[in-house]
Amino acid sequence: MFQRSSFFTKQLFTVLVVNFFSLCLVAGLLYSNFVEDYKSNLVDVLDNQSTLLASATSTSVLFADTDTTQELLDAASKLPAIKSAKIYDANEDVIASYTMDEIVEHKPPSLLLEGATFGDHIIHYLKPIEFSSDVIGYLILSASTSSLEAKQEHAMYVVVGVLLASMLLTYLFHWRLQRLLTKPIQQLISLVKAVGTDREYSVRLPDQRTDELGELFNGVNDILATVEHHQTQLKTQNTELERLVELRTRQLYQRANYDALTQLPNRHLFVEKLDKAVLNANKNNSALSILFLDLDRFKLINDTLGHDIGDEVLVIVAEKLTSIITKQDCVCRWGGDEFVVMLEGIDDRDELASIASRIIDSLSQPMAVSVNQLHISTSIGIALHQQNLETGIEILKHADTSMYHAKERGPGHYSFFNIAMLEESLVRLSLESRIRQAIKLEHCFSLVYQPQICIHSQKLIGLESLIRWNDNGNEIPPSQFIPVAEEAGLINPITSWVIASVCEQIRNWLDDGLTLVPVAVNLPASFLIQIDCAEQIDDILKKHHVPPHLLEIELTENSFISSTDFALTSLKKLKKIGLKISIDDFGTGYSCLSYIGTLPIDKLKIDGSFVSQLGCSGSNDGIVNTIIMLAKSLGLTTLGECVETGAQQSILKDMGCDAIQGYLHYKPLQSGSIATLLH
Amino acid sequence: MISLFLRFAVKCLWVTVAYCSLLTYASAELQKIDKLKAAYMFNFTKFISWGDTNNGPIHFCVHRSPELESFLVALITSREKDKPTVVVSDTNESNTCDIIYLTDGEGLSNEHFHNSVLVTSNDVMLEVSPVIRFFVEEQKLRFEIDLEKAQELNVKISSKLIQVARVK
Repeated sequence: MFQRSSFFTKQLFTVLVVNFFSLCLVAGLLYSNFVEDYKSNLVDVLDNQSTLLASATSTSVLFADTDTTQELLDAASKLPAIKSAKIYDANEDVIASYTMDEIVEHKPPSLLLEGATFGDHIIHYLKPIEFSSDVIGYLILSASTSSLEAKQEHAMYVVVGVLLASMLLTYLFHWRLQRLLTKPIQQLISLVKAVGTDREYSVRLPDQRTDELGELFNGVNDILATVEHHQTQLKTQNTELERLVELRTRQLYQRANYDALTQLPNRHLFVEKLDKAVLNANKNNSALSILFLDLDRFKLINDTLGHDIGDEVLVIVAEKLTSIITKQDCVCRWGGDEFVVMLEGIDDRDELASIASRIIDSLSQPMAVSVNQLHISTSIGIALHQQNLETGIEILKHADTSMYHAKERGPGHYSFFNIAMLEESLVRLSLESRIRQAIKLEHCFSLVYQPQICIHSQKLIGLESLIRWNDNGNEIPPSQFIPVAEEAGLINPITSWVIASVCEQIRNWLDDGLTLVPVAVNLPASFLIQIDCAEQIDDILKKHHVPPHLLEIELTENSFISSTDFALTSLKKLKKIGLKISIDDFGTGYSCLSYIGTLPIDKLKIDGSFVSQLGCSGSNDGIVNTIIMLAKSLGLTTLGECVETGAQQSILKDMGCDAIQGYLHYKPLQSGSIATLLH
Repeated sequence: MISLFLRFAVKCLWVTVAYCSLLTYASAELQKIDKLKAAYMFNFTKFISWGDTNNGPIHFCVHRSPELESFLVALITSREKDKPTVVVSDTNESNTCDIIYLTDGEGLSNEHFHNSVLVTSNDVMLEVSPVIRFFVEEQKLRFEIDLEKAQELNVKISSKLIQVARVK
């Protein structure tokens, strides 16, 4: 309780305690002094009385005159304090005495000391009666100490009364004094509380005082002024900080939810909006459609013209999309060259087809970017929301799936999602899984070799290795599983297996003493762009002790177009090793003819689609002729693929083609058949 | 030195033995009341003054009572060892007695009583009245003072003594 009291209460209490003890000490001393004085007086009175009586009765005692002694003693009975008096002779026999009623205690002289002896509420005073220096008797005066005790009690009351009165006065005086003295302290406390509660630093204490408290007040005022100054600074900084935080929050929100390049909602925000739209559609039974866009050949633009140009194209595409759709709809950049459009309230296929067509038309318009006039197109997958059956992500997946189908139809197409697509996707997934399994088992794959014939000598001048896959008795054509393997990232292990198998076969043929011709292997772009592509092939060659000139690498145009720098580096390394390099399916890609001349290649393989049309179309023949002329001008040999007729061979020969490959001479053969040919 | 100490010790022993013997003898002969009288009379000397001329010891004469005389001598000796204020003698041996105690008047003339404070017992019949006379009252020894007689003798008796005496 004391600890919980205020400081001033404690101080007051302390002063009262100190005062109490001081007053107690003084009162005790006074009381003791008073009692001792009274006692001393009483003893003095008894001494005087006894001296007088002893002197007066000495003669009567001397002459054993009891009557006279009693008379003298009776005279003493008039003294109020004396309650008993006795005179003894030298033999301690009582000669005379008188006793008041209340006195009960009597003691003979032999039990008392000369002078005063205090008993229970009584005082005895023994005085020897002397005559000529001889003790002739004793006088004992006994007095009641009740008066002393009454005086003591009275003194005690007085002392206690004075003590209490002093304490009360001390309390009142000190309380009043404390209130006067602590008023400024209370002001200080009130100020500190107010400052602590309201954080109001502009308040000040009065500065009229010149004492120590005045110094304290001035100090507190200075502190408050400093704090106020700092607070003002803090407030200013805080405001600035809040503004900055607000700005950064807005920026963060913008970054988190919007695409930095196109300022369109990003994937995150779009998914949120899509989920809300799906909920809304389910709740209100309203329509919802998703258009998934992927720009065709955008990678080509990025790689050939640079990312700056690619970014500008994306911005223009975003602007065009925004201008086509309404404000209620939402368009987002899903990532890379993919855009998603969400259309709420539209489920009419014709209307959706119209919108898709408008988008395709708009994006097909030439774009002036920097100094370039660019032509792009887009493939669009369209998915309609089915009430209470799909989530937002599922609709997106459906739109994405249908977009791939649109892409398969060629650039600038759109495709509506249907369930068959989903099944196809599942089939594709199953195929992917089986490819993985086949790669692990290895023996599922096998190689066949299609001979390449010199168009002039009709002699075997080369072989093209072709992969075959027997999936539990079913022959899966490469055109079916190679694209899936490429998309699933499984093409590189397959390629490694093909190169190793070809090298192993070459080694076997060499060991059999056969005269070999170069064997071509199709190298996909993903393998070529590996940094250690050349090192991997070189290692395989060395492993099987195969001369590099016996291995030929076939690439498609897109292999080095899509990743020019890496592809070119790898090509140069392979060329340096000693490998022959040819470009497969030439004429179907989008390679820049002038760029072809800079590549370290040896042969152009004219695509079968051109060969099959030879003699049927003048323009087709012109293209083939141009390719051959180009190759000759660049010092490259040419090979016609898929030659099935003598006419085709004849035309190619006339055009100056160097070699042919096709069913006209040989279909792809097993290694054993090739060995027979090589003999 | 040792022999001197022994002689002093033997002397003291003799004196002590003699004193004790005397006192025992005296006590043995003297009745209790006489001893009391002797003590009273010794005390009387403390309360009576014989005028300014008498500066020497008080001459206490005992008539025809050697036992009492001896007891009184012994008493005085025991009380006043250093400087006795009272000299005890037989009436026949002293011519000037300041105070005389007599048990009978035989053999005494008036000359003996001249200027002497006469102390007698009650049963003594004299021609001259005593200044102080012992008597027994209620089996207690008391005394009577004749103030006129004392005045005649020009002796002063203390009021204290008078207070405890019967005044004639």
